Amino acid sequence: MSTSAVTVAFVGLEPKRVEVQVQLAGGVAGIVIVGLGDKAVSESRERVRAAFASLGLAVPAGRVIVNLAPADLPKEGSHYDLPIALALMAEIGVVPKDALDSALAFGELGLDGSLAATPGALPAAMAAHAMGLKLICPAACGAEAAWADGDVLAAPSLIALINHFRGSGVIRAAERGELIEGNTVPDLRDVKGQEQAKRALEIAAAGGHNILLVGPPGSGKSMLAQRLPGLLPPLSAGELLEVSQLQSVAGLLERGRLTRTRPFRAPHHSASMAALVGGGLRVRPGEISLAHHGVLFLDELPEFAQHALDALRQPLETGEVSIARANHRVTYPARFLLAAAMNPCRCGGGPGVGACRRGPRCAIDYQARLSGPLLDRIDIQIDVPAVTAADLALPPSGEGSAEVAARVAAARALQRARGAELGAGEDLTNGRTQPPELERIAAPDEKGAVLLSAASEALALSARGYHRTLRVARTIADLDGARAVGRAHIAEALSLRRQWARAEAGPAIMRAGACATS
Amino acid sequence: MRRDRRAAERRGRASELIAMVWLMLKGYRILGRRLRTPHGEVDLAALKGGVLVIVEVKARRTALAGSEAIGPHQQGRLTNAALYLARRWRLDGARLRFDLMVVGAGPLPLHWRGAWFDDRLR
Repeated sequence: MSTSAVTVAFVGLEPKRVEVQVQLAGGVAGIVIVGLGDKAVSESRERVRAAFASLGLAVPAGRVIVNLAPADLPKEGSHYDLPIALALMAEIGVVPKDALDSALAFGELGLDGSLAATPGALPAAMAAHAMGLKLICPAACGAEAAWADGDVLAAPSLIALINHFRGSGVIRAAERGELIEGNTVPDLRDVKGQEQAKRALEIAAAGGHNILLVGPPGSGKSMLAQRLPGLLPPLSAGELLEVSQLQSVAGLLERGRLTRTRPFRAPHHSASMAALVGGGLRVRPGEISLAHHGVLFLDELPEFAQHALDALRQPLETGEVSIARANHRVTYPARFLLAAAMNPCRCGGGPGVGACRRGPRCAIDYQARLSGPLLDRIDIQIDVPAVTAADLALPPSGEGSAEVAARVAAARALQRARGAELGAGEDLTNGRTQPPELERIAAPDEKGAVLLSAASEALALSARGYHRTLRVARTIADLDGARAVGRAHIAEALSLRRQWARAEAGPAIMRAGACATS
Repeated sequence: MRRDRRAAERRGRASELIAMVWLMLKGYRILGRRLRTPHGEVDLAALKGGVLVIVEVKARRTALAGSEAIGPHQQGRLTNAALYLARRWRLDGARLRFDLMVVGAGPLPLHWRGAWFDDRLR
């Protein structure tokens, strides 16, 4: 004698079918929830009880045992309220038992029996669709859940749901929220001067290269980085779904509205490791996952906690982040473009007025906070000099985000075609190409090879530095529409790397932008 | 002081009587009144529809004051007493419910079914 309802548990983004079984047993009155629920799940019994009371229903006497099967899967979140309440109502005969046979219930209950918006409705709806079930969810999630194509029953309250099952008040099918097509990010046209940095942004967007901007305060680093999503092509249908699922789990979707603009996340430098990569008591996607298929902007890069930055290394490499726990492990996708900005030294730095007075030591110490392995993963590293008054007086630049985005889209189309040729999947950008393929697709022509080998010697390029240059050169060639990587492409790629201030090196390699001494 | 205690005692007894009559009118079979157990006293025990109902009677002016009169400690004592009684009456498998009856809050006694629960896992 038990009744069951179906719901889902999320392991990362992956929904797992969970059966909520309710049984009435003898003994002292009470609701017992078993099956590794967290605090929100065990508190569910108070909400269910209160909601029942508000409907004038009595929770049956004796022991109510709620089992969340599979019992060894940890369950988190408040969305178990609705399946528990529905199964209990079916058990005492308030709703017909067969009403729950072909449905997946998902939602949080209020004390007054209303259904509250619950994060994760979109992935739940997709899971329901995949299982061939109808989704029962709160009305507030209806617009979001309707995106999954399946049948959605979005009820404002428990009483509306009961009336629906009894046929006395039918709930209409939920409608999709709107899809925002246009770009809502600021335009590149607003940035005056900084032509080299703009070009670097274009290359970063075209090849999916990570980029680091180094410059004194007020040189427009943040302004430039904010315009990066506007240069990237809009999200494809598949990407949109992935991004929206992550946003849904994080509770960021407002009224079921999806947007094709790539996400832009700019966490403050006090962000903890859990905030950045995900995790915490309740495992949730972190900033890097919310920046999936978009841009993660880290302003004041050296100010971030060392271990938080080093935690970015694995996701930068693999495009996903695994958070291991004592009892389970979750994986979130995290394929983002890293844009970072920093001052050359703690005091702000930069040549001319406001230059650092503490000498090169200051810059060396500050820049040493960034670990080599992290910098190795940033293909483009440039100096952004301070803007002069003459730059500000310039008329607005003739070229805006739209023009640049068109070139970026063309370059990306070339990469997609090449990715398909290589059989490496269509989303392989130059920024993600690894050496064996890289040498095949980005082999420079004769003159280019000569320049590259000369440069590697003169600049003491490491193997990683060499490949980085090749990757960027490939993207520059793509922007040119050139099939082979030529000398000019290599030369430009070499200009997009930055000499770092080092203790053992003399002031000869200190370039403008770092703390110049004389 | 003694007078107050005696007055309270009298009022309590009268309320229990009223509560018992009210329950009988509602179709409950009264199993006992003022039942002494090793864990404490049970005001009323009744049976209806296979459910063993343990009723705590309070004489209070308002329903709120009545519900506030039972603390967690007393709830725990009543739980143990109820289990003891169930065993004594060979009702081990029966479903148990705890009710609160507030007498004096209105013209009729206020019967709150399922006034509290015991969610401890045992």
